[in-house]
Amino acid sequence: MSLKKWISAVAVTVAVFAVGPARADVELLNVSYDPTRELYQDFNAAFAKYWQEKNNEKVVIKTSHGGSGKQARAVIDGLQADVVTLALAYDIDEIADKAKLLPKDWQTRLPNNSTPYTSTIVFLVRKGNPKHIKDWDDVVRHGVSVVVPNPKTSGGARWAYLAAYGYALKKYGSDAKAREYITQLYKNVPVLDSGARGSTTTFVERGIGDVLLSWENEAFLAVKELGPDKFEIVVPSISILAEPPVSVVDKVVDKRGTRKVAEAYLQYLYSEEGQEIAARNFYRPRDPGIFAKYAGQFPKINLFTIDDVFGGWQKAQKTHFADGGVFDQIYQPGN
Amino acid sequence: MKNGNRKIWITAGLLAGALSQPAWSAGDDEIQQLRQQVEELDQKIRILQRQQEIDKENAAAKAKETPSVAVDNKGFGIKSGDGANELRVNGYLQADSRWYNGNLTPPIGSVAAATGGVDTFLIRRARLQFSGTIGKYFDYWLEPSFDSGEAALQSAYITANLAPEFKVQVGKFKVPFGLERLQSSANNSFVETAFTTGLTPNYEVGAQLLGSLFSGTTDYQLAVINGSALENVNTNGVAGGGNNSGSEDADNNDAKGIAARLFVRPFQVTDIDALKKLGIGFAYLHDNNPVQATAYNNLVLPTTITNVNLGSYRSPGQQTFFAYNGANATAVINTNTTAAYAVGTRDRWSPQANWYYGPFGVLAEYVRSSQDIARNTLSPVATITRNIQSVDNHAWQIVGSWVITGEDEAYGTSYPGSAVVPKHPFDWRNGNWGAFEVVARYDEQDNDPDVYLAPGATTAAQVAALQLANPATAAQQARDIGLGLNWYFNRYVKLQTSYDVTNFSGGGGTLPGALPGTTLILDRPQEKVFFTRLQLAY
Repeated sequence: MSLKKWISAVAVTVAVFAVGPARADVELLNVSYDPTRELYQDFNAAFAKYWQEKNNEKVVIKTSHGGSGKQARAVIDGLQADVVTLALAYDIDEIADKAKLLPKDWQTRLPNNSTPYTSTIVFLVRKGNPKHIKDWDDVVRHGVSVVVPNPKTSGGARWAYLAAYGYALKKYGSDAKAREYITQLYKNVPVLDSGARGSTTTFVERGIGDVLLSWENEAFLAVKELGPDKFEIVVPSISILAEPPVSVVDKVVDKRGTRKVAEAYLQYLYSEEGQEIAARNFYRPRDPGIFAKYAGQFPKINLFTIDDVFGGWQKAQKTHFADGGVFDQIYQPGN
Repeated sequence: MKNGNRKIWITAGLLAGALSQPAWSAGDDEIQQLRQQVEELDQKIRILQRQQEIDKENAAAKAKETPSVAVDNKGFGIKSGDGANELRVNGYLQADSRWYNGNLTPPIGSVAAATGGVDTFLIRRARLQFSGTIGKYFDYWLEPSFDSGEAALQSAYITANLAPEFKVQVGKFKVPFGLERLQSSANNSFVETAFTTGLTPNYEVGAQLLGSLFSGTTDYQLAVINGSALENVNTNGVAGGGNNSGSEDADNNDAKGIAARLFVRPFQVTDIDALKKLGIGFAYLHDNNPVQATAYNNLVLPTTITNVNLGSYRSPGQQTFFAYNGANATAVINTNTTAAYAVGTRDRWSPQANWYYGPFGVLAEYVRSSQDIARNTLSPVATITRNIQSVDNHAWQIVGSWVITGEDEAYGTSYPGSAVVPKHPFDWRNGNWGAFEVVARYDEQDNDPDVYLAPGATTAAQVAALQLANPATAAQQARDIGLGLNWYFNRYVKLQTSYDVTNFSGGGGTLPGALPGTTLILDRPQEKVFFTRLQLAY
């Protein structure tokens, strides 16, 4: 075979290989945490439409959901996420530290510490609130069954744990007392799911427990889906400002050539439409105008931040959730 | 009722009600307690059930992360929890014997080449196979062999398994051409293959596109290959050379071959059971011979070549019954010597078909190989320097098989293990004997008689110097009838026996002539061989 024919054969092969089976122009994988299914279902459709109109390019966004900690480990282990939208910054820090897939200062790249929306922890109780649960002291009462996921695997559970612990710290003034409080709280927890959506299933569908310590958006969704005749939301006197962050996974987008669309995808979360979608799905939008528009649906609540009370995620993780930390010491399965 | 009486009755009623109240209260408390207990029990049951669900979910998630080790009908395997990575280890061993009957004593005066083979036991094939998947989409295959005590790398390739319809394979693989050749040798109906397989290439290094279209009814393969095994078959007596079964890794020239194959099972997705496993195909192989086409076109032949690039052909008894002159020449051949050599392109094509229905099976194929072949000489014919002939050799075979114990017959995949799976594996204590299969075949090869031409020659010496093949040692035709009985002990172990009778014509043997110093050319003596093979493939 002559060189020319050989080159032609290779070119044909490469061309066929490149064309391959029918596929979208661009495909993104968003690895997210448990309760964001509905949010990103709406947002993905809106962004795909926006991107198509702006760039005449079809983009298909796939999402993966699970406990935030588990999702982070999956990315560290090789799951090719173009973007991560997890429950807490520590999980993305882990991806940066252990897999070196993005820079350590990833949180400075987008506004509001890369958290386009916030949420908090509230109580979901059964209609009529038969156990009269009003505040954090009520969830440690004897005979009150509390449903909450495992903070070792769930970001929402870590927020809930810290909200409770922060309340106890503020009320009782010492770590020792707060530790007693949190010990009593987890004695009231009959089962630990691995993620927030699993806990919602436990409480709502399986009829277990008197109160669900829930993401605010998840609680609103449950009431909306199942009706106010079955559940009520109880807003405690104080809770934590939960800031779920987002980031592009640099090494993946550079390898796959998806950086441009991945960055646009996250920036679109801050757009007016992105913020509207977040608010409609009961996430508190960062945009003051959009928040004001939806202010009626978000109860007023005194919120503290993790930085204020726990000195940031790294410290909170090490003290409470690392192997051998406070949670491992106070939680005895089956109690 | 008078007012006084009414008051009394009312008072009495109120009193009775007041007195009975503690009794009612006590019952209500009990009910409340029972209700509370029921609710607590209900919660406990719900919690236990939910805990079971969570445990199951966690176990399923853990299973996805935990590698699994399997020893099953696919061999030994290790697989990652998510199935994306896998290693399988297989292998097979063929312990053969050959018994030549009736030609152990050569005919009086016949040349040694026409004699039968040596009765022998041998390790025909001993191979390991490492295969699996890396990263979900990339399959690999590595097959070292120790056939007859010689270590070699039979095949090694990586397949980008993008979709069933579209795969890309790079490495050393079986050239997509011959139907019998493409099935694993562990699955051949007979101990030794037919003449058609002698005209087809075996393993080659290259790249191919392949896939299965239209609900698996249509397989296609398109390969670009070195063509080195085709060209090196006669080099220094390379093991397996001479009948295209060689296994060469290195290329010695820029010429490349192209193979294309299409195989269709048009009734596979219909309700016609009898035709579901009917397959019809066609394969084409174009090989550009390195002996300089331009020089050939200009009718200026080179003075030296590195390879004769010609095949020789073997009988079912694995005896060479046809070889071109100089077939055993050394690697660098001076064209002034007696070696014939290939020039220009070689084209092969093969219509092929198989059909399986219940315990019955038929495989049929035809192979034609067209090749220009030249031979140079200066002496003793000083004025004649070249003999070039267009040579067309062809062969065909038909094999029938019947599993008399009723198991399904099937085309043997490239995977080890038998295509016939006994319903009742061998277990003599319980009266199970496995499966038995009867096989029969007819195959023949017709080589182009032009190989014996010596244009322009006027003397016996000139003829001998110009002929591409020597009719005294190279038979033009061979016809084989084979019968066999195969005993499948189980999926992995079988005993094959077969008996092949091959008749040759058009030369291949000699007798002394009537005049001193002359010989008479005879047909090569009939070959009768009984084979046995005990095979373990796992």
